[in-house]
Amino acid sequence: MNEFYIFEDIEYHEKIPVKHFIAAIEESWGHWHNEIEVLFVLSGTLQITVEESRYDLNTGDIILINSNRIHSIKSEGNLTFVLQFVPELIYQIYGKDQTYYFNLNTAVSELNKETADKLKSVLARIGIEYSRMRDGYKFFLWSYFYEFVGCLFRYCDYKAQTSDPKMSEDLKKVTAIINHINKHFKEDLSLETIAEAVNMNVMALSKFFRKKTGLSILFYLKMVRINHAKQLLESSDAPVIEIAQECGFYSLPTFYRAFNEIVGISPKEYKKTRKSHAFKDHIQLVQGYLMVDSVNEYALLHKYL
Amino acid sequence: MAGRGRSKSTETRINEFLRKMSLRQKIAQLQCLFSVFIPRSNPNFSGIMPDGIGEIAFGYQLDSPEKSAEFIERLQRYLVEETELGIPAIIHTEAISGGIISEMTQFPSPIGLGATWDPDGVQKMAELIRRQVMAVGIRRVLSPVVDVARDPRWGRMGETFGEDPALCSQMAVAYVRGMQGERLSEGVLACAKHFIGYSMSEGGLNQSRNPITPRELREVYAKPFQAVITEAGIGSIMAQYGAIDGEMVIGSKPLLDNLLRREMKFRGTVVSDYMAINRMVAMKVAENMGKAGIMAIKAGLDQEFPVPAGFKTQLLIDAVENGELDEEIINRSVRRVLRQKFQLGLFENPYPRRNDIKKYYYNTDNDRMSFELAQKSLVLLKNDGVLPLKKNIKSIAVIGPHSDSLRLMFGGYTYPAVLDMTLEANVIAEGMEEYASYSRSEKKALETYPGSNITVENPMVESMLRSMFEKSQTILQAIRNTCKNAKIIHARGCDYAGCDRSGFKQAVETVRAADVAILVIGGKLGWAQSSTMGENLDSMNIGLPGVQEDLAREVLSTGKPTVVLHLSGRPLSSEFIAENCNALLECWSPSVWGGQAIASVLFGDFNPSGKLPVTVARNAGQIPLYYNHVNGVSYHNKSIFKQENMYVDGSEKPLFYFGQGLSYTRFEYSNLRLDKEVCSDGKLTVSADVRNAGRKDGAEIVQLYIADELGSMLRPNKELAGFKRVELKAGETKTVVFTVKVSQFAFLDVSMKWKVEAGDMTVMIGSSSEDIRLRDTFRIIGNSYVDASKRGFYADTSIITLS
Repeated sequence: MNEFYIFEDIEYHEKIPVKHFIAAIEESWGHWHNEIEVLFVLSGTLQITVEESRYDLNTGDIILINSNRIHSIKSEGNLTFVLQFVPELIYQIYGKDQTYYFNLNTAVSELNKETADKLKSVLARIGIEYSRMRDGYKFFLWSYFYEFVGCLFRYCDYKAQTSDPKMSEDLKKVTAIINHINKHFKEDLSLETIAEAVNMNVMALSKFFRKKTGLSILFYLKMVRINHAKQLLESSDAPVIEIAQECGFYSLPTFYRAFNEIVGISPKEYKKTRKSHAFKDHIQLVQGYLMVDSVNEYALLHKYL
Repeated sequence: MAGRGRSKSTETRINEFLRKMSLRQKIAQLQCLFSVFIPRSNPNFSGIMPDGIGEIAFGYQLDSPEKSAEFIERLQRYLVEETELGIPAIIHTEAISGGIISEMTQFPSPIGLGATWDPDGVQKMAELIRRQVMAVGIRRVLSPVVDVARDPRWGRMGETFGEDPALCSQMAVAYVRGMQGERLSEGVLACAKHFIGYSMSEGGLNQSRNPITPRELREVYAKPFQAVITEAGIGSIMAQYGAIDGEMVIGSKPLLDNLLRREMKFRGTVVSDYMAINRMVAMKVAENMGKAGIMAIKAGLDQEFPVPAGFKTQLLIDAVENGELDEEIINRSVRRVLRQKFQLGLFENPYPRRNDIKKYYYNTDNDRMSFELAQKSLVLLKNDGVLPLKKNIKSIAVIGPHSDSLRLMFGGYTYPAVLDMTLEANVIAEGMEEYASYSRSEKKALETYPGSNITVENPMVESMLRSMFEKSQTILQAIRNTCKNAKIIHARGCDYAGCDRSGFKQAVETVRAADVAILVIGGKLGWAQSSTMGENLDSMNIGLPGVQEDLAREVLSTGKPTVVLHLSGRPLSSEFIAENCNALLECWSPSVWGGQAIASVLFGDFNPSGKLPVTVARNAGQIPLYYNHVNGVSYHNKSIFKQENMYVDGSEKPLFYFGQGLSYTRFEYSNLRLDKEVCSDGKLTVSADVRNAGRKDGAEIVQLYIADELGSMLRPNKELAGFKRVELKAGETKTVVFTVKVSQFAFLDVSMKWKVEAGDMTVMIGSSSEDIRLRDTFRIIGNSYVDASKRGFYADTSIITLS
């Protein structure tokens, strides 16, 4: 679970419309989803951009990203507890008339220790309960989850707004742009062809996209192409030149430069390191024995209980 | 039980299977897979075991019992419903002192269980382990360790029941009975290990050469194996890594077939120690893994654990096709494996018994059982009157690296040791932030304690254990909770390893400020490189690791009354401490309830009753040192010149004797009665009265020793023949009755036949191997030769309460 995709269609465990996992988030580009997302940094640091604002999160920080806010993440190394839930869970209890926007970001405003400990302890219980799967764990997950939402209302700042029609108009527009890029990145795309396709002028498109995502549209295009290249490098043994072409790069030097800019290493080095990482997410070899992530999960979370 | 229940229908069904099985399917039944290699979520069972599988090695993970059961159920369901033959697997785990899986009850290490001299307690423990592992679907445990341990340099001494064949036999039989139960269909296969002679190796090194003569191999090292075969019908036996008389045990037909199956009449499955076949290539008796596998299966090895290496499918198929291996040899092992699966009832129900999880886990009765065994395992070796401490004492200094650690209370092959190893080898030891870019080749060298090869214990281990074992208390915490009015002051003094003395000053000041000092020292047991003792963690020095002995000198030089608590898998070999401390309590690895158990002894809430299951050497130079050397050698030499069998640079005597252990009360022995003449095929009855002559209730381990006054072969100066733990209220007297099959006194004569020899024998009853209180003689009438597999191994005992 290292990367997010631009339109996250979040799959839920066991039909509970709440998802959590611990991830080493390497990079996640501008994306949004209906779900409210909570990030709790268990180790390392994260730089997160929410629309145009940028925050540096350290170990122990918690941030909540409200529904449909475009956000991107960059990190040199971290383990982060991620909780995602649909706002409908709040509507069930508080009604659908209003949307709730929570202000929870310890990188900007410190919570008092008691509140912070409460929130972290609930998240730790969610993580450990799910990893252990003792009988009845789903009920416990529900109860901890509601406790968490209860804490948000009781202890955090929030504002309730009636839904904003402009906001959803804007999201529709961003969606259209991104859909177009995702569909046609293998072709010879330019600012002009994109603008034409989404029926905007070049200047407005460029400004609008940057305002909503914090990224230039051409940089975004480059990221989509390189991400596809990364997948191909991992999954196939095709020569680099074929992979470059498959991703819309018609000059090899341009591909190498772009790859290095986005990933930080050459395509060949990338292929090599990914192979050695093949099992990273599940298991590691240890003196002929193996370890699994439930040990990690417990090790990371137990001190917050 | 193995060998029984071979109803015709079972044999018919086995034959039917063999007729329809392909060679690949047969080989799969002799193979094992390691569960940690199988992803928990969406495992591709059909990809990794298309032909089925004989066995799955399970454990080494943090999964809850529910999650373990869920995984095992899915796996068995795949094997039963989706493979062609539908043969379920046997799932195994380690369980010498509790299953090594999260939430399974943890017990004191086997050497501590040996020190309880309480086979009933061990049997009840094994029954609980059985119920806990069966609840999650495990049907074989790689336990007990029945090695006779006479070399404390060897890192695995703590996994054994001690140095004596009779003590090991009786404890092992109790374990196996508890584990296998009345019927295997309701039981769990035990696996006695490590066949054979594994514990006595050159230089005390693990996986080495075992220089043992054929006679000693049978009389001493095979005895506990024979006892569990004969007395408990053990289902499986594990072949060890080492070498005897020019052969690797794992590939030795003389040992695995002639000795084990023909002489000893074993009928179950012989399994390999983990990756043991590989050792044949390393030791250059097989040119490659294929040849090694062929040698092993021909020798009589049935199953290879934990992953196929010598028993790889293609290797064995090639061997059959090119004529190197007769398929009948494969069939022979497949039959044995299938027979056990029928005996276990796996064809009726291979699944976990999930409802038993609620019944047999998370239960305070389990805690109580572990706590009581921990209390009984504590051996009081010295007490000048300082113990028991009074609860109105004003101040206590608690010193030493083991004083405030949960981790250091656990032995090897326990769940905390698994956690420790896992975390050490994991990135967490190197800082979580590197996780994202971690791969094995990038792993950094771990920090070591200064001046040692011992890596620094990952602080996460202790913190995780404290969160998992919420009710457990460290020794410091337990002392605080037991003696609430006293001022308890604490200083670690030093680490358990390394040469850092910087904490000595504070430790000494702390001791000076208190009325009494409790010094808690010892080793660390486990697999992790932060351990000082364990599997492949042997040592030249059998004293305290690091600078703990120096810390003890500093503390003892203050002149404050000092109680020493020692925690390790081997007893404390320190002449200085033994001489200068005021009290010494040998605690072994007491496990979860160690803190509370130790505090109960320190403050007199429990009267110590443990006795040494091993002889304590002064230093490694005396090894091997044990109480039943043959007549006329070692410290038993009674020569008038007294020049033989002595050292020029120290005493030849042990520091503490086998069977030794003090109580807070006194026991008096009287009224020895015995049959004066017995036939060589008869039984000897011996009884004696034991009285609690002090003012405290207590328990005594009454020990029966026998010596042959004159033998056609060299005979031991004395041998433990039986023992009984007797609870006695203050002033109470009980009669202990021992019934011994005379065949128990059989030995191998000059032509290697088991002989019961006519002649005079001495009976000794005592409180230790050295503290003999009652003595008499009897005579065996007539020589006879016996079937060694039917001989006696230890006395039956009973207690008559006198009013």
